[in-house]
Amino acid sequence: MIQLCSNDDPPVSFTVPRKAVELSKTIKTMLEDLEGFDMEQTPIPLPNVDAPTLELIVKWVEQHQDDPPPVEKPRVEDDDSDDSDADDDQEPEVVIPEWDKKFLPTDDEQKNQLFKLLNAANYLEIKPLLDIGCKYVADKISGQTVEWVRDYLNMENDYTPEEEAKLKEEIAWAEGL
Amino acid sequence: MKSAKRPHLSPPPSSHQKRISFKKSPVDVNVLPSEVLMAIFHFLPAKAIPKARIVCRRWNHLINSNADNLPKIYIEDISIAGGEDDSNVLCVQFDHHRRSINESFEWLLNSASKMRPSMQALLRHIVITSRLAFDNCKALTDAIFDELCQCSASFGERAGVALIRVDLRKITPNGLVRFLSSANSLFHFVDMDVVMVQQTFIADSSLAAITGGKLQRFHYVGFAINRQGKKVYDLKHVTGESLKHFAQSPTPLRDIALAYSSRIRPLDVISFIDAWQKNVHACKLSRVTLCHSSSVNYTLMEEPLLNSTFETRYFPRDRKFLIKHLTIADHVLEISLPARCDLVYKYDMGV
Repeated sequence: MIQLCSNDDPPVSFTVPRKAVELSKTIKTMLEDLEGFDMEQTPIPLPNVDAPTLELIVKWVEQHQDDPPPVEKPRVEDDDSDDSDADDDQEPEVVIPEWDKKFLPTDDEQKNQLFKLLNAANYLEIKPLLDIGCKYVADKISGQTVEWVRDYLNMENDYTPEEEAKLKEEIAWAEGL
Repeated sequence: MKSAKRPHLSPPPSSHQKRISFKKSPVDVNVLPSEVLMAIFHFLPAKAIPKARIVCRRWNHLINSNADNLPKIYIEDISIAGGEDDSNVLCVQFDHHRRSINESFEWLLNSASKMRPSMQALLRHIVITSRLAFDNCKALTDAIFDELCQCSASFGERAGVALIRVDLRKITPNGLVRFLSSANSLFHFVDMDVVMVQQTFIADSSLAAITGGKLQRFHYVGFAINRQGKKVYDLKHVTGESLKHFAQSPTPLRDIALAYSSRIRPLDVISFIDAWQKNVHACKLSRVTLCHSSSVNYTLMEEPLLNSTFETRYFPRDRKFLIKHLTIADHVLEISLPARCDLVYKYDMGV
């Protein structure tokens, strides 16, 4: 079992099976680097993750610890020299599993938590979690108006009206798609 | 610099300086690092990417600088067609193989000046699988050509550029040479059918760039008629040198047409024919047309090359002549002379 500590003051620590914690590439690498030390007794501080987020991370890795490892497709570097089918050069579709759908903090009040989770997944390099989180956000904002997206993601419009109008004109062709 | 003395020292920088503050509520998604935003964009459908640029400056910057790593819209055939009053109409044909969408749409660009940013923005988000055509466009400039060359990543393996009935009056000789020389390595083909150009800038250097390239067809009529019905332009910078280039061209040009090229002399034509017969690639030429090519009278007998390489019997001996029309088509050379309109000299070039 490995202990993970949040960045809170005082830190909150979680005890997680090593197998689950190794879904995080960051921690996996760290554990490999520290091979020989008794990591069971050394709590790992996570400076970028607070307690509620760490709790979610722990929940997720424990749920997914027995997942088959993602198949790393060897990337073909030469840009499609053959006329292969379109599906070949497209990324495999990311499907959000049922459990994860319920797991993701998707309520409007929980948006902060969702962003924090994405940030933590990125920092800890938990690619499948980052993928489903990003996929969720992308699905949510695609097809929506710019204003809706800004509102949903709590963003300020930092363009001047002239700049925005110019940009809209520039991409007007895409509106018809 | 102000040396403000502070009574309290700020706390020493923590080792976790990179810590992202989520204290403020509600949290802006832009607290997320660029790679997370990019991961989100990656899951957007290709057609939503251009729109995402409007959301905020950071997104615009991120998408613009990483456009090649983001999903792109596959388009089979896209043509920018000149409309009335210098406007351009953009027509897009989707690639049916990649998307099962069978639709095309037209979008009217209001003025020529607006074409440039639009094209740049357009190419950033798409992959052309077959052809980008400029059809009857009036607003082409060197800058557009340069931009096109910078966007070569938007062209698929077999995609190329076609210039159809394009007016190149705003293109400089250097611009054309620059475009054609880089286009050769960037695009699968360049098809050029340029007519009604009221300019005489085209010169031997431009034509040399053309013959070194992937052009399949070259059509250039460098004249215009003014109100009095008089010819006001001609290809005065095009000399026999260009014909030499055509004959020695390593790429199989299919069709060459030059009109009113007063500096191409019969001697040039003869050496062209001579070189042409020796060049395998040039033999793929299906047609060469030189209309009104020589405005100077020449006596064929004075041309020393004639006797050795060309059968003089096909030309009128002891007579000065002016080429009105010269065509090489299907291995048959046809020359018509203005003096006798009914008289057409034919010469079979077949090997």
